[in-house]
Amino acid sequence: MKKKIESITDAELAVMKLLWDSGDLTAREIRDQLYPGGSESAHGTVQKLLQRLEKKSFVSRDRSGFAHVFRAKVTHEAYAGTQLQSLATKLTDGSVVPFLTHLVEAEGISRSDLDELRKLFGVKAKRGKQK
Amino acid sequence: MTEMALSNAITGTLLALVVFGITRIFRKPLLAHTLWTLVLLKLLLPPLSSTTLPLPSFVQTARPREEVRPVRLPTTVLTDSKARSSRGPSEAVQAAVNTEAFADSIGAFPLGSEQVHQLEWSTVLLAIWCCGSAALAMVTVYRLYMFRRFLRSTSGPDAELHAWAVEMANRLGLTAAPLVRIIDARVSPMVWGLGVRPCVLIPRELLGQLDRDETRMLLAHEFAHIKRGDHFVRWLELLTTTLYWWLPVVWWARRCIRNAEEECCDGLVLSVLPSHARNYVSTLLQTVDFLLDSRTPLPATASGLGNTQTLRRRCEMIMQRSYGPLTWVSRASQWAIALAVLPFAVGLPSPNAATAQTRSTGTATERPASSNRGTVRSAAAETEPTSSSTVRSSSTSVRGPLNAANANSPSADDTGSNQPFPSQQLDAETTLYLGDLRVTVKELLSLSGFTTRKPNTSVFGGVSNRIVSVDESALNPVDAKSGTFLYDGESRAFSEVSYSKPKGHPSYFSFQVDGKYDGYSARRRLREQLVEAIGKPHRRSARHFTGEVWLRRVTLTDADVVLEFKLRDVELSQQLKLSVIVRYEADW
Repeated sequence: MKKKIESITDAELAVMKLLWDSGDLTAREIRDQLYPGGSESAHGTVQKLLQRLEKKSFVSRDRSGFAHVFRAKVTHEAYAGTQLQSLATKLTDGSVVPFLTHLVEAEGISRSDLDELRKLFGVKAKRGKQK
Repeated sequence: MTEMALSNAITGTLLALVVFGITRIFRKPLLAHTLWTLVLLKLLLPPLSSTTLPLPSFVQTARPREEVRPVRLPTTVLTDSKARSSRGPSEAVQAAVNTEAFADSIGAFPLGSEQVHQLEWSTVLLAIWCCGSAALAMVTVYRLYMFRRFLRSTSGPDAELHAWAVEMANRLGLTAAPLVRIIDARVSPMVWGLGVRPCVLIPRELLGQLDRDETRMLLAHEFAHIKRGDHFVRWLELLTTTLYWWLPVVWWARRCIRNAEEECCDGLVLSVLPSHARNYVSTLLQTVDFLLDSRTPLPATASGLGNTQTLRRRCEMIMQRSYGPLTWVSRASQWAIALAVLPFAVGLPSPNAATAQTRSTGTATERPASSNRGTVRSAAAETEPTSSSTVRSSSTSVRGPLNAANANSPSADDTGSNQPFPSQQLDAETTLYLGDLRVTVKELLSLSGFTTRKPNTSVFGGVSNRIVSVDESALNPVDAKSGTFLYDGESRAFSEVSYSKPKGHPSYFSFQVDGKYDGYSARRRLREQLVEAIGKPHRRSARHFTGEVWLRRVTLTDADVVLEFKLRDVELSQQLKLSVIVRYEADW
């Protein structure tokens, strides 16, 4: 969970949803589904969206054929997870409006502090799942 | 209203400074928590005594407004304004007239232009205050609503976690186990107390990183918050923050309350589960580890400050077990200090804090005379019959929350040292010296449920049928574990009966009816009828013995002394091994 997944706009999310449903798609197929009966400007819009998504590493572009094929790089679950995470973090942050009681505040504590504390109290570090 | 708020603010600030001083002198979390809560409470309540505090001048000049005579506009102006329908030069006339009327109306108090200026100033400030409060209130309502919706996306606990939750709730003396929800996000475990039923949120990934004892300590901590009623303090904080967002004292007091709260909670958890201090620290540090995983690493220079210090102090206090149930003397002195501060405030002392501490000490027998450093609270006894003779006593091993006193054990190392000790026969009046604690054998054993009939003899008689504490796993004095019983005339099936009574806590009787787990929070009538059907679980016949008491072994660990006695029953030729654990807790 070290990679930070960026946020995407609603239009980009619509494109992602198509890719999650159908797998590999070309730009034209995407355009047909998003803007049925649309004009060439719609095609331009879709291209722009795909470019932005590629930049954010959400989709990968396969240039082997004449028409580029796009595939989702970030899975649906991963994206939903980050949305949930950011929502959770926002809601539980109690700096202004405090309605939760947290176990411990980790703001401003660095890894070296933690290691020092562990050594001080004779507590072993744990990595990964224990069960 | 404004004046009251301002005077409250001033008194509140003064009170805060006083409280700060007091907490610096008497470093006791419970006192700090009570006092800082009083500060917030003071801000909300009208003052007891109307102290004449110097108020800023612009507030005072606001008063003349109320004594203003009613304005009577000259009739010519009235007719003019009525006729008007459009703006234009008549507006200038109107404006001029208004100013004149205004000047007339406050003719009794000729206000100079400077005071008029201040009047406007106060109105502006008032407006800013109201807008700020309104905005905060709206944000609060919105966030509360969003949080409740978010709660629906959490999942419930699995059976094991639920069982632990029920156990911990019982240990802490809660009547109903709070809801435990699991969230799939990286946040700190927390307590949500503003809903109908308090709820504990635990991140799923953290659960995977904690072992059994640590998870239970986590639950214990969160439940301790609920037991202490800290979620109600959140309401107080919300209210004061919304109204007094402009007053730095509120933010300061909030921070102090949180810190004191955590320490009080740690104290409560440790008084109920004193042998798990290291697990507790491990849980805290593992949670910090878990939270750090999602953050960007801090530069090396930013270490050792703020939260690190707080965390370190917390862990130190936990490991040194420098918490302890308060003797009535120190509790009384704390309340005395709090009450002395009261004339400034109309406040109800938080009863939750006091009763929580009372509960956790259990049925304490205090002997302040025997030591000036600690008191013998109680000793938990483990009775195990040896296999060499007919076994008659119970097979339930007794363990439970240990409170106690002792050992000045400077010579003990953490791993516990077995001191070679010659087996000695003792009599009832033998005095044992444990550090600066003096206690007779009779006293020690009577705390474990053995009563003496005749003093000054080495004869002990009468095994109390009172269960000191019962380990839940070695349970079941009830004969019927499953079957059917009549409830409201209907035959219902029950199963998985279990009964426990930890010392100092309400008894906990659990069972399943029709396959549903109806724990301590079961409907009382259902419970009563079941008990009637299968018999009261904890009645057992008394057992007496006369015999000799031998002290076999003394074991010193870093926090307690274990005395192993052998009781030889001469009449029945039986031997009983009795371990008495005496633990010393420093008065804080």
